[in-house]
Amino acid sequence: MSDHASRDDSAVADAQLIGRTLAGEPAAFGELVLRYQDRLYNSLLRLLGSAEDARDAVQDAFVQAFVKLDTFRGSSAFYTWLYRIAFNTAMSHARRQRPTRSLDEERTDRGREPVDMQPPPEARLDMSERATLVQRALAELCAEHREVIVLRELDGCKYEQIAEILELPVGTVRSRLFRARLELRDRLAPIVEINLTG
Amino acid sequence: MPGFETGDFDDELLSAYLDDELTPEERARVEERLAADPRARQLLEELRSVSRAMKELPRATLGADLRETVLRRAERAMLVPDERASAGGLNEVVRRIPFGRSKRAWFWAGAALAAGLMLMVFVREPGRNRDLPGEVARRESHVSGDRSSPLEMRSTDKAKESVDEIAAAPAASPPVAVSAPGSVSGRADSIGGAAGASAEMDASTVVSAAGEDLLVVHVNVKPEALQNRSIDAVFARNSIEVEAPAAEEEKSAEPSDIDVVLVEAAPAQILACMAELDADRSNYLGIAVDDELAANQQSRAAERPAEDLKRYNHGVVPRQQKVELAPNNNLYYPTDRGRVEIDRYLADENADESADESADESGRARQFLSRSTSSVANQGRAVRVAPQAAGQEYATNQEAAPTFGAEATSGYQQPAGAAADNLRGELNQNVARRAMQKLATKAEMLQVLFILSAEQPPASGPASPIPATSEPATSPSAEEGLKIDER
Repeated sequence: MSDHASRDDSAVADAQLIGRTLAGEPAAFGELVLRYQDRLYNSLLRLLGSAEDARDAVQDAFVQAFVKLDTFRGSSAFYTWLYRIAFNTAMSHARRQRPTRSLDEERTDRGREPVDMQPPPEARLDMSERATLVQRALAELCAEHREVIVLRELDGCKYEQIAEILELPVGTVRSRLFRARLELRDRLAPIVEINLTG
Repeated sequence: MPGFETGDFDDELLSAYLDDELTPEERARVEERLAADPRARQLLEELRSVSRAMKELPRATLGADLRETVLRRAERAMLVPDERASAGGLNEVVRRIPFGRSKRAWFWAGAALAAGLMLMVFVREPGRNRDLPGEVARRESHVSGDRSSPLEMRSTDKAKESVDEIAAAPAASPPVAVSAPGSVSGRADSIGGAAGASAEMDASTVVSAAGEDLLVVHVNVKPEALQNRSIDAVFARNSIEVEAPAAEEEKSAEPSDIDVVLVEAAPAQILACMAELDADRSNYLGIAVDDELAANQQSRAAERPAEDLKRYNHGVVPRQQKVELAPNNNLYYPTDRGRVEIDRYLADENADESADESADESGRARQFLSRSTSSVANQGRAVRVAPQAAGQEYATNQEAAPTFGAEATSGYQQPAGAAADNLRGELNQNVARRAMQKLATKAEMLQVLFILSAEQPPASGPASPIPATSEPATSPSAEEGLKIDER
């Protein structure tokens, strides 16, 4: 999304696929699925914290996108539009499913090892441990913060795109992102300190 | 140097600075601040570190291709309002169907309309076709009240080359009801005229589609599943929509123990359908793939899609009839309740031109037909070809029959003259016919005739294996009725 040239190419290709789909060729939509499924999955996995939920959410998003494809006006990128659908669905689904439980609780319920609140000494933090720690910190954010962080850091969206996806003013995106980062900094203090000192 | 007060600087700018999301003025302010304030530099580094930690998260991938699942669910969502609503409360899109459904609906509407128009023409001008070039000579419709009496055999030498035998045809033309929409007469004599007049669709317009692959899949279905037409859901999940003209729906209100669906779809779609049928053994008790018809045809291509399909053979399939190839390259499937005939023809690319030249209604109908199919997307589709119960005999779409010009590109010498007329007489029988327009992409498509039967296998001893496809047809209707050997 940061590369303008490839984004333009990709937008043209997307538009063609959308046109073919609307003309009665569902297979063209299949190409769009293939094009974005992993990217969307990665984002939704970080957003929802569960592979199963993320997979379901990706499917739901594509199905919905297909159903309402003729409402896509092309004023934004298909990817942005798809993300709006996906995030809306995923978050409303998450709220509906477990309104009082955090993603963390959910994860623990699924039998995974809860991560020790006190991070291990820095020497023992390999990449996967770091990833676990980061994922956990992310899961502890409120949904509003998690959304902007995922879109910014994992998808590389510009503020404007995030604003479009989440239907927020750009200023709100900026302030949420800042507060989310501050919160993450506090939760990830050991890692952050490592980077600062090392 | 500007003041150092922390109060007038929003740390949020540091975060946006990191993302390169500042105006030039803001950026200048931040850089000024960073130069002067170690605490700001510290915070910026912390934010950068957080950002880096996030970006270091491994990229997760699905490890699966969601296309098929998504498209299957999407099609279902388009068809079932509930699912559509549950996909996100999208009631407002119930009316919007970007699936090409409407186009295909138009196709069948067009086909039905064309049939009706042509029938009207022929009914009004029964003798006109005699003057047309390329016509197949028409004889008076052979009418007999005796169903079992063999049809009089008349054949030219030319026809003999391709038709070894036409015997035991149920020659009766009892009063028939015409189901084609828009038809004005249901009387047998009118139908006779209509049949003869089908010669009007000369070979330059309609070319017989013999020589193409056609596989026959016999499926033993639980009666409930047959009545529910549960196979339609299997097709739908694989992007094959079963289209049936409304007129036929009315006719087939009576429960039937057989269901015949001609499917045209990509091999992968067919395979997926077969896999579903094979997996659902509670409803689909037996499957037998019969490619004898295809194998017997001349100039068989090296491709053997049947081999792929045959791996789904299982269970017990009831006594099955052979689908037979008639001399006109149509297909016959005798059933106890009547005969199913499927004619396959493809519209010539010049159909529009020839239709333009002829201002008659059939010309317009052809034109309409051609136009309405030209935009059909490369997607599987199917048409239900219902056999007609004995009490509901009627003929449809007689006029849409392919004609047998010598220039037809099939492997067959086309019957002509009286033999063809015999054939036409037979076509007046209780035959349900539907035309399958060939798609522009036909080379990639496979035609499969699904014959679903709820008939229980003979209760003799252990379940018999799948009957050999070479078994001769043994049904009473086949014996008493028409038997046309393929070459």
